[in-house]
Amino acid sequence: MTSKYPERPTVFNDNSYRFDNFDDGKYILGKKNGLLPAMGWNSWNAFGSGNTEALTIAMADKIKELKLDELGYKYVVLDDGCYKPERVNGELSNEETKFPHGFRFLSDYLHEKGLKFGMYNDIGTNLCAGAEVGTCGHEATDAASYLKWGIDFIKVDNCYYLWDNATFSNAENARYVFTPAIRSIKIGAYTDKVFSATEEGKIRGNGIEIRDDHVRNIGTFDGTGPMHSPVYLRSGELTFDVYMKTAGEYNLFVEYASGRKEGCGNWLQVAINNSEGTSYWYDDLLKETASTTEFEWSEAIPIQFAEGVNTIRLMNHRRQENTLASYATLSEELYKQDPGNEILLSICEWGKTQPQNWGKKVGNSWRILNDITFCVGSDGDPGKGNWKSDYTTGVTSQYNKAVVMDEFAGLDKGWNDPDMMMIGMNGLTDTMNETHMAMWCMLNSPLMLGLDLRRVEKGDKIYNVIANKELIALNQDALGIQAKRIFSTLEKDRPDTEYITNIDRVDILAKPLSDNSVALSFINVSEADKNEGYRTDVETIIKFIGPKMVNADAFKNAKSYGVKDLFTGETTTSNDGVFKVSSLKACGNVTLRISVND
Amino acid sequence: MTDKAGITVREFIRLLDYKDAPGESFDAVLTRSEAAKLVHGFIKKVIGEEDVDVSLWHAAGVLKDLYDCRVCVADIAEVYLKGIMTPLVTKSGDIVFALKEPVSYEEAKSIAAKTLDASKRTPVKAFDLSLNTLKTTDKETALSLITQNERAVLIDLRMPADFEAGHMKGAVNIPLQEYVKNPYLAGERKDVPVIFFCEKGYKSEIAGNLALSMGYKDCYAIV
Repeated sequence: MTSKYPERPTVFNDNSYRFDNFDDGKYILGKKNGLLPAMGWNSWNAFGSGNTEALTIAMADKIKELKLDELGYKYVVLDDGCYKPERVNGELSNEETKFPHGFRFLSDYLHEKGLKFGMYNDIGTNLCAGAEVGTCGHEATDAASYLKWGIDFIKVDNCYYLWDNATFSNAENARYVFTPAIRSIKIGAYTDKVFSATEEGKIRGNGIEIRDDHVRNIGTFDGTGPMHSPVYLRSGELTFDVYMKTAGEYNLFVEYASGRKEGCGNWLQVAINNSEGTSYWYDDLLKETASTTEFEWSEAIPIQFAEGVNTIRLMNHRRQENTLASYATLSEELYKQDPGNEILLSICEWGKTQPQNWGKKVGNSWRILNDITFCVGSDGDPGKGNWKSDYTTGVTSQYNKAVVMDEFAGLDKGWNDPDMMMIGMNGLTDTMNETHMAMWCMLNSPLMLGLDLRRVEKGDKIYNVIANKELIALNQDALGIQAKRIFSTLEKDRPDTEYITNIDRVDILAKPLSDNSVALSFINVSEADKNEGYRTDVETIIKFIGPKMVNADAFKNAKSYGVKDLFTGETTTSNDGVFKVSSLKACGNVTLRISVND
Repeated sequence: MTDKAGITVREFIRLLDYKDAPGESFDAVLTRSEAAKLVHGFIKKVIGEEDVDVSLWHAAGVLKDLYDCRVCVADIAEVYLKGIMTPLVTKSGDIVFALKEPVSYEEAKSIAAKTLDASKRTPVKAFDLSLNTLKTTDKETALSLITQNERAVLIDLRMPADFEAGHMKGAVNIPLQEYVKNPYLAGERKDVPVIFFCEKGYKSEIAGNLALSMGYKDCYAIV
């Protein structure tokens, strides 16, 4: 079997994939904009790699029977486990026992029912469960297959990725995404001066480690785990400001020690910021040194300096840039072959490369962490979910991170994805299911059901949760703004941006809606009943979400407010603009829709 | 890697006498994660053993690569906690399951023996399976823990003004009200000593118990 895998990370001919342009408002070819979070059903939590054509058809039939499609659940997504373990004549092929009629058959079946068809792949060489059918190097062929099958959605993972130390990738791929340790630089114009990293060097961003005489950890931190806040810049650069009396080309030399591990690699990017803007002068591997502690001088790197102050940036944003480039390749191929395609792209690299920074350029949603459960179900077994976890495998673990990421999301960007829902799995009570749904709706998360729908009947407890029209309406509100946390019992000053992982707390979230109402969610994140009484008011709401509201003044000046409980349907009036609950059950919530009474 | 050819999936299935074993690629060399999957399937379906409760999985958290493969987590936790497959220790001192490593014939025989005969297993000790308790210590012992183990963490929970006035060598200042918000501030590794210090010991107790609940296994309060 011929290997069509590239030998090196993408060479950037233009700067559209670069870190510096993540916020330029431009998109990769094929990016679909202005879309609300996707809703549907995904096979993974329900059946794991035991998904089959028969089960998928059964799910589609149940969706129609329960009229879930009329509530918005339209995308039926086949996750891992449907391809043959190897390509056939270089093409993706259906596993014939599980999917005997192939993918076009399933696609037609779903489309005939007014549903949409989603599939799954990976930007690496293999899928996570091992099949060597990743799109890497095969994007053109796979785009053709997916278009032939009429897919409407694709979820793309990053196991076995070639240009980073992703899951199952070679751990030494870390060398592509970190610079070497750097001790000093020399510039041709200053023939006898050595600029030391620790003396003259300035650190920008976060994560860089300063040692006695050198600096390391220049790259982007891995965001897969729950330890770190996603809000601040998750990468660092080492910079030097040099003054040039005359413009001209001079050589830069870097003293470095390379490695092949997280924190110390051998790929360097050199950029210059000066009066003429930003220019890039080096973006490649450096010759490896004998060890991570033996420093050597690089070869000359010629750079055109402007007159005046030039900031030399030694950096490596390739963890983010390589991953963006790989997702972009697939998106661009689909666009090239069918510019009118409406295929949504669900980015699933588990938050490793901080996709909240770049995902908006190419995708419709980005996973923010490792999986919400590793105990997925199978035919006859609902699987198991947790409320909390000391890793990512809990409703609250995912919620804790997504809740401070609202500023990264939007109609012109895409959505944070705290993973598929676990409603219906063992281990979650009715109360937990209700709060799980309320959270995911307020967070503008994609709403992907993950249970065997044959276990659901209209009017039963699970149905009532997943079919709650009022909650779905929050998630699908046309204004497209993710809720902001405006209060937490554990954080006085910055409830909206402080990353809190201790679940012993109560949060209040506020979400502005297109009819100038506001959704308020009082959430008891803890596993104990809380009876202290929690309140918020119009002033606080406006302070945090005023700028995003349709008409903050009208909201502020209303004579009174209609208050609707979105679980009980009960409506009351508030004349003083104060909204409160006296108690919250363990893992419980009260979600209200506050509207203006003129 | 190893020069010895590993056992194949087919041969391993034969060692277990696992009728109707699921899967494909029976001629492939058996990897450790594939072995875990087969063993778990066998003990559950053929022998009829109960799975280890998910609430005890945190004890498997010492395996640095536990979550690398989402389809394998349950299988790895099971075979590790029941003492059927033992982890490896890397050069840098990390404990790993090493999912993709091939299984040699000798190892395969040992794994099969433990699978078929529970008395041959060495389950992770009951002590490890329950949440560890907060240990108390004094300043001198704490300082020697820090010097002996360069990965150990010493957290001073007092307000910055008190910390600046004087603190233990190697201590990091995280005021309790900050620590309480995000207990992961204790660091990346959950298997190294994490020591808390404050004036009277009350704050250290709160922080220490919080750290334990978030999976840090070796926590101390200086009293």
